[in-house]
Amino acid sequence: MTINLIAPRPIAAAWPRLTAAMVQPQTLPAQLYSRLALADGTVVDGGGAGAVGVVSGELVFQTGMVGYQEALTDPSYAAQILMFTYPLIGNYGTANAVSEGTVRARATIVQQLQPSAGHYAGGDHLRDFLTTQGVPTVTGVDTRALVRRIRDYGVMLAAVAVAEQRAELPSAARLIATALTTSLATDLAAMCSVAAPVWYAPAAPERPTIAVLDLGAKRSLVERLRRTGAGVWLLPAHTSAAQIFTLHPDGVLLSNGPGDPAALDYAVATMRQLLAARLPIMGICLGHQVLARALGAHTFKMTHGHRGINQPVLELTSRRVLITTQNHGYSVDPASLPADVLVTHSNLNDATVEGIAHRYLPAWSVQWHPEAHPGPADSDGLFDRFLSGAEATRAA
Amino acid sequence: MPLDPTIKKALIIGSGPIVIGQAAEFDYAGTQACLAVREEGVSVVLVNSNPATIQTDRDTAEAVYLEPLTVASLTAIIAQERPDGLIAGMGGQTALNLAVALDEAGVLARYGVRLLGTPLSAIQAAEDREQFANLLARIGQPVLPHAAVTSLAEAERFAHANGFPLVIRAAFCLGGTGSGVAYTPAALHKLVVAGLRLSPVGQVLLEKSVLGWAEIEVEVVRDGRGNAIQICNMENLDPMGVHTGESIVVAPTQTLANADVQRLRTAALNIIAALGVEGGCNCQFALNQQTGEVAVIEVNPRLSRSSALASKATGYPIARVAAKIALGYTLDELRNSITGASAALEPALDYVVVKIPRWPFDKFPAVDSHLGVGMKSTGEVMAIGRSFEAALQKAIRSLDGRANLLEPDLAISDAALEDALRRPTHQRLQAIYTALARGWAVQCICQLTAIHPWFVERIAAIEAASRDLQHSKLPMLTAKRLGFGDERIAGGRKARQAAGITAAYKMVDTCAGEFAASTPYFYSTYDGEDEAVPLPGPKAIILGSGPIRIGQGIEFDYSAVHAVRQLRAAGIGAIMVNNNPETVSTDYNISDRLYFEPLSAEEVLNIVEHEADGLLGVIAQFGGQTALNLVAPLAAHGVKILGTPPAAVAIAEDRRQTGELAARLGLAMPAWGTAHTIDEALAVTAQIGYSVLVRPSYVLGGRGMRVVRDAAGLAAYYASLDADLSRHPLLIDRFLAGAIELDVDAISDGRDTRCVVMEQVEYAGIHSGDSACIYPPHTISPAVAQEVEQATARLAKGLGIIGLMNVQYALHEGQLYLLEVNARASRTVPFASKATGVPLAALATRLILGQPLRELDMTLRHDRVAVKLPVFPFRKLADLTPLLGPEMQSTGEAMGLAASYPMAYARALQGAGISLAGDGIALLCGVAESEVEVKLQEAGFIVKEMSFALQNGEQLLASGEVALVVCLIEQPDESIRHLLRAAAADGVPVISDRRALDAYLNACAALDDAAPIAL
Repeated sequence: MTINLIAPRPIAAAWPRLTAAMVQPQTLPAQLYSRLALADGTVVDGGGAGAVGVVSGELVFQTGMVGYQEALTDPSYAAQILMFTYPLIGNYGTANAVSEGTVRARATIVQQLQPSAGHYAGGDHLRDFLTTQGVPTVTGVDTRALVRRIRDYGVMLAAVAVAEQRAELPSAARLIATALTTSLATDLAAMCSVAAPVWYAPAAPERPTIAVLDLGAKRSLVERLRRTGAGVWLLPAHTSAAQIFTLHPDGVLLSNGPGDPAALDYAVATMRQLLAARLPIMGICLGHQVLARALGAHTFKMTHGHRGINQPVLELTSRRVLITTQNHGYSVDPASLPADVLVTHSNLNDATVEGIAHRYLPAWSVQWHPEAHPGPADSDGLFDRFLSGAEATRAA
Repeated sequence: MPLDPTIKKALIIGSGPIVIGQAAEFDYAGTQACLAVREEGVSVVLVNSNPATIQTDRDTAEAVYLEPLTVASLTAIIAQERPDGLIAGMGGQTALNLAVALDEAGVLARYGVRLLGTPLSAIQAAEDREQFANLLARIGQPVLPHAAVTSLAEAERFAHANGFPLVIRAAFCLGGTGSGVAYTPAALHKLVVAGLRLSPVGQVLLEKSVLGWAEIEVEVVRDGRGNAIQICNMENLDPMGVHTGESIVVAPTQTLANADVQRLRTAALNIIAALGVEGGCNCQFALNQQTGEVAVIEVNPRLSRSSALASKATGYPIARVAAKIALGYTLDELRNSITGASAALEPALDYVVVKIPRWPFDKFPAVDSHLGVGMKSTGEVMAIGRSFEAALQKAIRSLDGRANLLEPDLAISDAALEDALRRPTHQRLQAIYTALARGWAVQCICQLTAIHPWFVERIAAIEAASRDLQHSKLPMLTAKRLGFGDERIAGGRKARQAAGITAAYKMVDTCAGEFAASTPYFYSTYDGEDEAVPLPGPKAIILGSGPIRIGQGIEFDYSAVHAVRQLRAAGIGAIMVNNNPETVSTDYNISDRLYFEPLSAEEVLNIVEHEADGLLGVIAQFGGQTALNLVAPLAAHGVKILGTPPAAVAIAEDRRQTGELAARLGLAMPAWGTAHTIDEALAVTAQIGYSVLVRPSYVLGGRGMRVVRDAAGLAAYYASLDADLSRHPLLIDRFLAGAIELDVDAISDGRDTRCVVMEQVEYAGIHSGDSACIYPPHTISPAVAQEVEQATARLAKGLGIIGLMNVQYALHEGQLYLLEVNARASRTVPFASKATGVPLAALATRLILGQPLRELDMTLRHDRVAVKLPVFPFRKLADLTPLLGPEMQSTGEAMGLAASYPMAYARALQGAGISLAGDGIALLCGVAESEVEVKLQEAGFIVKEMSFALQNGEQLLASGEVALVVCLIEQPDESIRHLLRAAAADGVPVISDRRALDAYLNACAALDDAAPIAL
């Protein structure tokens, strides 16, 4: 027997009154126009948002169905044009607390830029956010078709133009030329790094001090370290090993960041000196690639990289699966690893190297983002492992 | 961990007959599991009493038992088969409960059967609210104030402490049976008393209500080493308070931020880790979207309706992976065979999926159509689009083509509209749309419905676009991208095509395009590039049957899957078009290509045009009335219909033409007439006499069909009709009282015909779908059987049937009458196939492909008796009176197979979950008839007559002493009907037909412990 809602009151009575923020009519800027050109000659027109202008960069795609604000503000996307594969972007708006940094991506591409219908954590319109941040945005194009091109041909240079009138858009030929002549700054990491050291005091004096070599670190990385009570030095990418030694860190974290690790010889050199000092070292993403190079390995450019929050990684000793957030276009060549470096983690899809550890030195790194934001917190425990190493150093 | 080598034989338990809350999704899961287990070299023993399933096909498992899902029956099968392990997670709550019972009875231990997959401790901890709450508290997950009580007094104490409203559930009941929300002490009293009675363990669960919060489901998979991933999260458009099976569901979640999604994902993974789940699991959460508060609602440690939806929504084969995990594999060892990606990759969607339930209120106007915490829907549709608007409109088109929920209801008053928004019914989308069309603010609608503004704003976008469309202000492409059908476009399909706007097809690949997948699974969109390179020919399109509804159930999916397999075996590309996410036919591994699309002329024509090169044609005869209704519009566009030609379909669909054909062939039909008005109707009955059987033409499952006994009854019936009689007139047939009905499934190549003749147990007048059915026929003479076969052969030839047909006859006073011809596969095809050992749908497909019938082996088995018994939704839909008539009410069926008719009937009764009592009290409603009374007494019942029954019936029912209720009066009054409803609600069998009563009593007497028979 089923008895339904023997209800003098409707179920809706339990729904609290909507806040003004949830129902305010959206104030949309006038419709803009956009044109996108790929290095392979593909040109598509769409709607536009964010900012007017012509930019170019490397077109990459990200497969997360949520977390667009975290992705947009991840410095690792510097010099790239970030395209979302999920077709509805903006549903729950944006919130100040969610940003990982300033937007470094040169432009963004979404199939549908959605107005926010509100969210308890903020719910401001993504469109407004893109305008404030000055991000040229292409809307209303078939993102899946573009993904398929990149998947088959690899990441491509591309150019985006956004204008107030369709007539103001550069011609297809000109935009393709812009794409082909894109300049990707060589030292993107330094560009995204802090200008001067920043000190975050520990929660208690006995807590370890961690030096973070900022190659374009996400905010949540530093926050995750600080949650442990550690004192954190956030250091410019060009900080020398000698300078780092003067801070007496108990551990060094090599952060994530944008660009080609082969361009970071200065950071590789720094790392070699830190390794020699037997300091506990953890590398993340670009930091992982730099560590690998410091240990003597090579890195190579992948066809289209891994960008999403669903990548399965196998921890090889325990054979445990971790679902990870990833954002990288380069990878460590396993054949080039010296004998005293172990592959600790492997990608279950394409068997690329996901983590390495030195057999004898307290140095290890992972290719993904254990700090998540966006994405799953499956590997959050890695920070604790790193911190306990740093604590041991401090105690010694 | 690789395959466990100690498992050589696995027992898989199915879910039994289709009931509300447990439908085709378990055939999908079970069938996939059987394949996954067998490809590891492990043999499978399958038990399920539901014949209308692919999983109970002889070749799905090494041994298939169409036996009752009871401890006794399973014990016998285990003793006979000696499996090493039991997989219980594929057969819904039924299989899970049975596994628990088998363990408690010591059967598993006695025969050394290991439970594979999720352990019993997890199943029990998830079911037992108290244990579950403790577990949640231990791992720091939020729990709502709750209690499990075994008495009313305890419930009242809890209410006093925690206040109203409270959600009340009967423990161990599936699909929300015995559930409700109490706002007052009186309602609490009523629900708790009912729940205590319904719960098999006499336990009722109370919980503080979170009505109005968002309801989010997370589908997860975990292996034996503790690896766990999220397959999909889904957001119910309807808030808490509406059962998730009754909700419109959207995948992935739309209004949740990353932090919310990760919090729920982590919670789900922590919960299944704490439970020790090994396989698939569904976790339900409530989320207060004003504050971010979360509460865990429930966990189902098994495959479910939601997991079927998640599988179809993502392309991730959850059942397959869960089956491999049960055998010992871990996620890192498994790969998605189609994308080549790891099975540990969490699916990424680049489209929006919308599911809408299908409710039976069109057939049951007496049932309260308000939605609540109990399930009433029988099935569901799913649609995929690149926007929510498109997916929603496609889902609505999939429902069955008539109800447009996105049209304003002009007649409804503002007050009624407000009520419709506050108290949801199956028409809630239309209520929202109407309110928007009247200019009600989104905010206001959100407050009345508790639906998130994001969804209301999207519906508002459709409403605004619709107005623009009316004023020709909306560009055609924009309209198509929003999912509007061609009928809404000025100039229709032609104009659209002239403008160069055509559907593109995109792949469902689990990875948002990241890997080059070869999934043969597509959906249409008007947003861009086509990626469905047409399948190489020769190929054919098979139309599915859409959502499961009363009158058109899983039986049609069964036939469609057989047709697909035959095409593939013949080297012909099989293209499936269907929109039901529960089914085997929409498993993309079944066909060469699956288009998950509405079964509308527009969408099917688009596919025909897309796949035109090398396309042999469209096969419509396996998709029930839904597919058959597409024959005429497709043929009108020049589409080749394979098998029975459209003209024959038209004749069979038209009563007059059928009558003319019958006359020409010398077949008697009951006197009949058609009428567009009441005067015409009265004129017809003046000629043919009463009683008559009346119904609107072109109906399915006897919708709106009644037996009318006099002019007053006819007038009353006429007044109750809302059908447009100018287009589809009223059909009036002379009613043949006391006739025996024969149901014939036949296959024909246009020249030769072979029949399977089945005899119905109930007298004519009961819808064939609601009647029990016997093969081989039980009472008819060989001469009559021969006459039936000859008549059927003449009909097949006369119509030009190529493939399957279904004919119903009545044997009345020695005379054979033709009642109905259907130029398509029928509901009884799976039963007939299993009873005879001849795969009718498969053979029919070969005839459609041109093979002559004489080349096929059509040896029918006669060495055993098969009984098909319908099951009814009387417990779920409490407003229904458990009396049978010409309008179909059953949701599914069970089959019994034995050496004799009474034994087979007994097995079928048990398979349908009906208790076979040889004693106890039998309430006899109706004129005291010594003959019936004596029969009941001889069978061992204590007979109480009507006057006594009416006075003490409910009390007796409450005492649990009533074993049977018999009602043999033709039109019982309301007091009797009330008693019958009470009996049905208590699960007491109600019998209202003399032949069925005889069958029941004989079955009770024949109850045996003969060894179970493998199919």
